[in-house]
Amino acid sequence: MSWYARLGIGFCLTCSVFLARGQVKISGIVTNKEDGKPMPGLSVTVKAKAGTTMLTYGLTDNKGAYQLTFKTTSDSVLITVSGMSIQKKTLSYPNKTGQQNFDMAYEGIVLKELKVTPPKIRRLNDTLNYAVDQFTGKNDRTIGEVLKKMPGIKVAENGSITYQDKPINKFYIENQDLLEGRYGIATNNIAAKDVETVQVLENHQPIKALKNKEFTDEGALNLKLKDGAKNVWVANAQLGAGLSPLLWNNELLGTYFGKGKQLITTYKGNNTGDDSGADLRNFYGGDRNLPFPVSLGIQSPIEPGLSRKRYLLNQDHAFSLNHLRTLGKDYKLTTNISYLNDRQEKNSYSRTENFLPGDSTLVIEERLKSITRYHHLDGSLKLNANTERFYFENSLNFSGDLQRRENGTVENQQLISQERTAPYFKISNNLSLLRNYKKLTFRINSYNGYGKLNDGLAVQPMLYPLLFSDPGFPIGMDQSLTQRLFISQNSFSFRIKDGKFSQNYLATANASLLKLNSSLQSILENGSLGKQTDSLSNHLNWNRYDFGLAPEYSYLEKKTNISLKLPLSYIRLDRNDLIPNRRTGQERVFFMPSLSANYQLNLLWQFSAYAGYSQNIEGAENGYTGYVMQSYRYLVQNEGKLPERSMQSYRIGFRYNHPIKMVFASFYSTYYRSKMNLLYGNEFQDFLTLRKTLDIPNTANGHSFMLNLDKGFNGLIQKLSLDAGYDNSENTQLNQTSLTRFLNLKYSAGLRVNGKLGEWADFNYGLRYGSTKSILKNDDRDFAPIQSATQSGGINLFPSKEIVIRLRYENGYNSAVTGSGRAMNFADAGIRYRLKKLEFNLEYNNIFNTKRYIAAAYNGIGSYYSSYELRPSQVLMKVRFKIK
Amino acid sequence: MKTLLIALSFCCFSNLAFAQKTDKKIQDTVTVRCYYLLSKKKDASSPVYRRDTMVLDIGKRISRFYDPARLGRDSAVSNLLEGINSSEITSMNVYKNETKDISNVPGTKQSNAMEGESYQILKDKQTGLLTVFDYLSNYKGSKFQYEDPFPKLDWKLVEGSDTIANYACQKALLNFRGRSYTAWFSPDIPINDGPWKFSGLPGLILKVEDTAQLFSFTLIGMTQPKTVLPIALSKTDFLKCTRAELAQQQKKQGMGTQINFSDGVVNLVVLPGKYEPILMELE
Repeated sequence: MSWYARLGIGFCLTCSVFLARGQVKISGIVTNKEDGKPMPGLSVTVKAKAGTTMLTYGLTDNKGAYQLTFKTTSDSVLITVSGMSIQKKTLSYPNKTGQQNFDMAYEGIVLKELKVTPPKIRRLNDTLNYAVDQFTGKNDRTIGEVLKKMPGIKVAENGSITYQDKPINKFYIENQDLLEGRYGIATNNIAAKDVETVQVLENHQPIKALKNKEFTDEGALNLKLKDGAKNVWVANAQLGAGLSPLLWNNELLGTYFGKGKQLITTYKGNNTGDDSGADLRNFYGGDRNLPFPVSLGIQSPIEPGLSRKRYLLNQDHAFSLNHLRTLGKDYKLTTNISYLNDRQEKNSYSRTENFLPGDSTLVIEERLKSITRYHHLDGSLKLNANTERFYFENSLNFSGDLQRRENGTVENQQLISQERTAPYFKISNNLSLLRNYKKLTFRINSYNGYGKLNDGLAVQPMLYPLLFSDPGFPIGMDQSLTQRLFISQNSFSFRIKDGKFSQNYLATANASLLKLNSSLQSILENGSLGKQTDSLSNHLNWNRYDFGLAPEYSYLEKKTNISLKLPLSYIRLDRNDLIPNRRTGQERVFFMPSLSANYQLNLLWQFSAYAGYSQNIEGAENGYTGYVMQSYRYLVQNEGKLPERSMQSYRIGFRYNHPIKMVFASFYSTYYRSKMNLLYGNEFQDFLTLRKTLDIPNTANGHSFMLNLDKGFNGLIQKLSLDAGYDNSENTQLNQTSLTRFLNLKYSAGLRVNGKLGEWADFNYGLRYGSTKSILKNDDRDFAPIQSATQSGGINLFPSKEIVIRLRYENGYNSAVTGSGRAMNFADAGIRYRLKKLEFNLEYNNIFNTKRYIAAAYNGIGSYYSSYELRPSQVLMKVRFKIK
Repeated sequence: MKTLLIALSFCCFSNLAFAQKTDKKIQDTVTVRCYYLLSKKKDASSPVYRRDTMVLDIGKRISRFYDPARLGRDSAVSNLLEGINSSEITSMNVYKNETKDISNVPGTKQSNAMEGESYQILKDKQTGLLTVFDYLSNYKGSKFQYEDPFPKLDWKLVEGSDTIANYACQKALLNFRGRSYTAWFSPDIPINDGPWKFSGLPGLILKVEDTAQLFSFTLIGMTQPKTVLPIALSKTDFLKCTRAELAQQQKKQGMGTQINFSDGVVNLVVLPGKYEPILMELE
């Protein structure tokens, strides 16, 4: 054999060895370990023992059989059988053709969860959707706390919500308006974890039948709940106790949100400074159609501009029941009942300065103490239907203070005691009907209400003996005032819509009938009242009738809407003053046109403008002729003539919002100019203020700017809000005997930041600056501006899943304050611990035990300074738990 | 006459939509839900012009691949049509071959053929059958379905590994209907499935793109639902056809519709332009 041949054979041999190694076929059956049945559809893969790449793979067939054909140089291979819910099995097998069976066991498989994070804010047509989970911090329990972090949405200290600086017109839960404006009940009680999405419905028209017919630029809010929070009864409770003095703070909450039924019932009670009544405030406006024109009052401290929790000395109990159910296809019945009982104590020292002509200043110093106790009941029953075709609503409302007592003392040169009782009630019914007939819309509205206020103020000792002619030495004065008011407001309107143009004609007929009886009498030594005198009494019937016609023309297009209103009204006022037995009748015709326009440049920018002219003639508060002691140092009496005011006002603004970039900005500027036929002024006789009226026409004007900017972020800082404002107003007032033209200037600016330090902490910081200044024009008297600034910062730490540590610091500065009160510091700390279903909360508030809050500002032609007594340091332990 | 025709087809659509709402056939329940980002480019060097989040619901036997946002938008159009009582219609405006856009008018719903994906792909593991459900983007709302029997996908395993969404992945190549694809699958997720029509690898496909980089599917989310989520398909009759027949119909379809109903007036805009998508399947 030649060398070549040997080489050739050798080569062939090598090749065949390679070949033998090359094509390997492994097959087998995969069965279930339990019952020996074949397992189809499993993956069988093979790779070289030391390799990373799969050589080949196969799937088991219906008989559980598999077959793998591959090539590798490795000595042995690894065969792996895997499948969903199957325990993965890997075997080493020599690199040669053969058979290998597998028996497999079941095993639940858990994959690494990979969360898809939806964008924080999403826009769908006119709806902005805020993903609640992405805004919720670990310390946030209620949805109200989370709302504060959402860019574009603002929650004021009192709980009212604005979207792009306009109050929301509806607050829905699952598209139902259960709370009728008292949405604090929802924001302060519904847990953030139960809410999936907060929706802002922009330009929301709550009446479906008016959709695309009547434009609104207000937004509404809707809470979309998570599935787990729907159709279940939930009951939660909180118990709390603390020192000092003995403190208590308890809550009970029951909710149900189902398809045709919603219910929230709450009880809150505490003496720890949490205003339980805050939940019950109606932010839609409530029953403002029945205003009593005159009210008495005890001189009591003006509440400081500080979080109420710092100064409210309360003992309150608040209960509410809110129920909504659907009746048939279209109708809904809503019942809201609330009851509030409170006892509030206030203590302060105040100094009021009135700048008098000729460089002199009148100073009134008062040390005030007051206690207010009341029982307030509110109830309403509403039936409504809201469909595309028609709208029906009838609501019956009751509200009143079943009892109200205010006691107080004033120490100036002497000790004066004041006592006021003022129970009142109001009952009203409101009916609205609206119906569409093709291009026409008819609307009928009728409101009828009756209310009665029994006001009484007793002041001791006798301060103004010259007013009374009773024999002996009277020990005090007693002012009684009863007002009975009936109001009926009726309107009929129809709207014709033709494409983009619509015309609306509204006819109104209103009546307001008031009976006012008052008497100021001395309190005699034996406790009985002295005789009534005509100059100190009023017996007045004040009836006003309004008839009006208000055409409105509007143009509504996708980008533009313009609306022109031309209301014309005839007013007849009958005043029957029974004491001087004088009847007067007055007639007026008012024309109050207004023009408003909105223009949407694109999805991001929106512009608005408004111009209007209004006229009014004022009511009985400026029309009674006998003296009324409104407070111990304010006596009011009017001349026969009524003030009449006309005003022109203008407003322009723009809004910008970019939900994806989370930028929300708005700017507004306003100007007004008003004219009045009468001039008012105060005349000071020692500490007594007498109101004077002069027959001098005068004007007032003012302008203001407001800028707001909100930006959301995804990093360390989550939300940044900036605002700046300027306000300028010029007025004329009678100051003692001279006419004074004065200018008030206000500047304000604010900054607010919410942020998050990874998973273990979040923080917030706020800075607010304000400056006020008064200028008396004719005296050329220029007062130093009063500047104030407050800063607050808080940090929440999350050392573990169960624990939250809260720290908070506030600092206030006021340039008008001299001495130690110029800068004030507050600090609070708290810890929350979660143990299974229990949540423990330990609070330590006002750690520095800051005792007084000092405020100062300009006020008309004067300034005031007050020092208000605050809540002392307190320690409170609360336990929250789920009942159901 | 034209108005009448449209009104007629309207009623048909609303009936169809109604039927769709009431009856759904539950085929399986979701064990794993995967979210894929579908990005599309006009050519390799140009930027991505469209991104959609697609969902792959995997059950024990059936899996369903679809675009929830597109289906949501389109069903909003049909729900709006369904809600209109024909007696309330006082007038109807149809805008065709005009550049009119009513998308800013409150209440407008729109279905745009270029936005999102209208197909739903059902894979049956047991029978190996792949069925595609689709409809045309016009107000007539014709619905189609076809079975797509193709031989087992001939994936080539190649060297290469990567980590996608925290899973170690292996590379595989495939030629399918005129395009070449590169896929990344994870043997750690022993699910023989993937986005679109892709499956047949020993592990879930987490990413797949064509070599020209026009289409790319990437896993962006994965959950194992704790509540029962059905894999359901409406019982509505889908017209049976072949893949070629549907492709023919789709070529003819318009860009979509915008519809608005308020105050008795129906405004219907047939979106202008020609529907010329870049197709994944070239043959």
